[in-house]
Amino acid sequence: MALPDTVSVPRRGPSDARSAAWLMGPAYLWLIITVLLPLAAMFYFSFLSDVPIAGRNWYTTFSNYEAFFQQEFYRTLMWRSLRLGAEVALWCFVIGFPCAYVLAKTIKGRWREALFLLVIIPFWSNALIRIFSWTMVLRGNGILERFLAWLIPGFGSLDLMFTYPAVVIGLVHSYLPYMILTCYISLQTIDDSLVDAARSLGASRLTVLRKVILPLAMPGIVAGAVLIFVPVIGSFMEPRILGGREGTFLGTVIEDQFTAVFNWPLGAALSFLLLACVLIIFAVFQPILRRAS
Amino acid sequence: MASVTVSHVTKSFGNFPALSDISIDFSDGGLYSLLGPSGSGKTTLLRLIAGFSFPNTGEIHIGGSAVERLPVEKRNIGMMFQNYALFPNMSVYDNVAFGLMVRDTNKEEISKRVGDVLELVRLTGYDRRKPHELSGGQRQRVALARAIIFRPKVLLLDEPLSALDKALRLGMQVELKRIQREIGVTTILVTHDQEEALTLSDKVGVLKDGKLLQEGTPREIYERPATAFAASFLGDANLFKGRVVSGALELDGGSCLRSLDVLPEGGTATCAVRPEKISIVADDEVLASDANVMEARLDDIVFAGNSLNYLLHYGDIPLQVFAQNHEAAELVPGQLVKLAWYARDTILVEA
Ligand SMILES: Nc1ncnc2c1ncn2[C@@H]1O[C@H](COP(=O)(O)OP(=O)(O)OP(=O)(O)O)[C@@H](O)[C@H]1O
Ligand SMILES: [Mg+2]
Repeated sequence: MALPDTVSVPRRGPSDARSAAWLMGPAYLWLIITVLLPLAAMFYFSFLSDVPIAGRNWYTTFSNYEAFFQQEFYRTLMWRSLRLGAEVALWCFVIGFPCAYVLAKTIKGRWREALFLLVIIPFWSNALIRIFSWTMVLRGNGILERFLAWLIPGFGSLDLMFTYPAVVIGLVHSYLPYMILTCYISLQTIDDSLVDAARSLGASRLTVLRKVILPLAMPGIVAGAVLIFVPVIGSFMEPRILGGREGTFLGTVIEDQFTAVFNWPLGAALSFLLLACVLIIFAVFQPILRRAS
Repeated sequence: MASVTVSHVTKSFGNFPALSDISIDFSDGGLYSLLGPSGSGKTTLLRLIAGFSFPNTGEIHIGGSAVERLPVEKRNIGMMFQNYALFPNMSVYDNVAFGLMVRDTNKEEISKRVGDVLELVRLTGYDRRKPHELSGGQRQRVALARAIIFRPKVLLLDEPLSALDKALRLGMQVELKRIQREIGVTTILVTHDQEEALTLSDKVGVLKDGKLLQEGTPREIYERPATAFAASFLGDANLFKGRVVSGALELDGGSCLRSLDVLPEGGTATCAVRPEKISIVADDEVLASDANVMEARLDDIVFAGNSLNYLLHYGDIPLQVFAQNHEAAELVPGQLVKLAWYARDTILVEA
């Protein structure tokens, strides 16, 4: 039976587009004002020779960007920051994925809610307080050292303060909830009967994990890793407080430019280089990321 | 191939007894259906045989060796799940090859056997598709292929066809039976579709509340149900409850029914009669001497295409009679009709 063509799919008339514009307009306007404008201003700053304040001499230049390519120092820092981001994301995966798995697959009901609360609490506590409490745990004769000494008699001393591992520990603690939540969501969508099916076909637990669970949870793992990687490479609070002299990363150097040295143009240029680097990385890994999710 | 023996198996969840003292022999190469209403413990029993969970007491033997402590991945059973449970991230080929892949079979062997089994389930050429690119019936067949490719000792099917529409289900029943015959694997099928159980299986077991009520060939169970429940669960049945007076069942309305079974003298008993065994007869028709006769009031006639379904009542007993369309008499609801059937079709059942 042929349908009369008057009842075909409703056409999107110009009035549709107009109402969409009315609905979305305010949101976009808000985005432009709060995000794009400051960003554009910063982008402009990054080509100046000095902060454009009355009484200072400034002109447009590429020297801020050139500095990055001429001085090995910045490139080492960039590399250190990227490595830090990758390492923190990896540790978050190693710790967060099993947690998410237990939450999603083995615990039911009230206990799950309680454990979820524990996962979320780091989000709610103030970042500074969180980091400073780590200093008490990690310093020599701190909580960690005493605990280990109590556990293993004759343990000796352990002072992690102002070391690279301290920075990693602090960052992993801050960003772990992202990984747990994204993994939890993707694990929850995996039907339990898939695991049963794999086992009935003769797969050991490890094979089930490798061939069924990990591939199906990959979108969550990738999302979590991206959510962690990006802020970590620009982070400055944890590196500064927990890393001390060992905690020099691109993020802390950028922060210095804005707060201590008052060289906004250089700080802005470094920020955009970092952003460019992230974009390049994502572009390179795009096929893998796309396939994973 | 192997036979499966379940002896005195019980299983409780908390203090809820899901299965109590089940003993069944599944013969080598046979197709056995577990039939029962929802919650009767069919899936529980199947999962015990598969090895997803372990019985509280009792033994399970597969091919003569005790397996009740062996986990599922060591039991070498093929299982087909109600929702197919195909791996969504893998192609049809990889899904089907999974069971061989985990057994470290070499590449050529895998590709040859996947080809063979896809041909068996009539899905040649579909190997590159993903599960979401298949129809329901095709997914079903991939699931079957995946379950049989590694030549399991036993094939377990948990309501494999319940997600399909009726026409497809009938087609798949035929396919399933053909494939099962061809590979000769011992098969245990869970279903709550009585028609499916009757048409497919060599043997049927009826479960209720975690107990095995009766088992036998489809014909035995249909013709000689042991309980009123089995009688009405497998097909339709008219149930007559009455007192036993001198070897016959006396109903409240006064009619006496004879049966070839020995009725318990002096007590009450229940008899079942299949609706298609009863005929509507004319008043002057000559009947066999041992026929049961009864006058019942006609409530309604349901037209079902090739047959007519008469709804009647006798006292407060509701009755059903099936008649072929060609022999249907001109009857009107409200009138009294005379029913007759053989004494041998009156079967004593447990209430
Ligand atoms: N893991 C479990 N925990 C507690 N009770 C359970 C569990 N699994 C099953 N049961 C109970 O055991 C009984 C039998 O369940 P089972 O799944 O075997 O029924 P079934 O015969 O397969 O029913 P259906 O036809 O609806 O699939 C049900 O009453 C169910 O509530
Ligand atoms: Mg079930």
